[in-house]
Amino acid sequence: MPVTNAGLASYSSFQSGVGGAAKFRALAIGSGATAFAATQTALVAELTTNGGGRQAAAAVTQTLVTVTFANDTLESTASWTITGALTLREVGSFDNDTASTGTMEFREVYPGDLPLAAGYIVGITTRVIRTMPDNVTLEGVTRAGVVEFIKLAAFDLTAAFGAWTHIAVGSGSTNFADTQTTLVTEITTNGLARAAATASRVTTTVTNDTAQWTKTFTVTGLGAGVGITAREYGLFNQSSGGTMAMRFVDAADATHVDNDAIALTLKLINTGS
Amino acid sequence: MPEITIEQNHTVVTRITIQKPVGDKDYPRGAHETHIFQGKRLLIIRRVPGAKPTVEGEKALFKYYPEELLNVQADGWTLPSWGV
Repeated sequence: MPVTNAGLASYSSFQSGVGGAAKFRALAIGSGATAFAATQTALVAELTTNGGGRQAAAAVTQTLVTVTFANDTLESTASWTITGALTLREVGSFDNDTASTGTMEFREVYPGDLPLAAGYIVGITTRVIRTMPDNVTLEGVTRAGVVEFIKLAAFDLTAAFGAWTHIAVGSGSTNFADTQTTLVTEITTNGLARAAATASRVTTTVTNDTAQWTKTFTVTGLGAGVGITAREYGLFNQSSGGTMAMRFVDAADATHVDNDAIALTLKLINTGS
Repeated sequence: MPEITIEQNHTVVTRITIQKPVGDKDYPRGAHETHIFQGKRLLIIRRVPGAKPTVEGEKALFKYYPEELLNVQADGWTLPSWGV
């Protein structure tokens, strides 16, 4: 599990806009052989001499590549021109250009030392691939949401919008598909129009690994004996339009009348592997 | 309304490319090898065109890296997919 706990907390910060995480921008190599632990916050023995020093944002190229669906993966590349004897054993990604500083997103340790000498050229390519649970029918993260999230997390990339901020309610019953970009039938009246949610970070497994949004809608203006059907819920980054990050479809229609309160809590749990 | 919980997994794969000069004894002058590692193993060894390592050169390579990294999957110019 090379993604660190701190990396997961940064991911939830990019998603929620809470916590002020900085984008990941630098790659470092080291000689430490200690096995990976998610609690680690730095390389075990980061290299700083003989051309092995951390490569800052200007020397790291980040691009979107396709693994499962278009642009679902961030690829970062950098190279080092070695000027003297070194041992390469570990690789890490950071949000700071300065050696031994910043949040470590992930660390990968190789099972053996890779000896380097003057004249060697080392290239590192890393890919962070985003996957969702298989066979989901009622809820999930959208492809567009994944791509937008990656852009929020990568220094070289610019997101179309910011973190996710708004919850929308709809009446559509169509199953979830990760290619969806809007609710099927978004409601814009009777107190159920898209509205800003309260964003936060909470802990599911490790500290702040989860982005959370809460919002209570109150139904109004229907009149006596009139109901309104709600069945689907979506998370967006704009008050209208924008990118839908996730969509949930209830198993059955829920009919509401005036003064009904619909309290929603959306959680996006980040896990690493 | 129950809370809605959705999971997003993040998987990391790294690939290390080491280009090393090789000596005149085993290779043509100016030759170099590129060794590419992914995850836990050596994926591929690329040699500059025309570079023909001697038997001693091959032995030297396999002394050069730990045995754990020498699960060679391919030997040519085409990298396997990232899913390897």
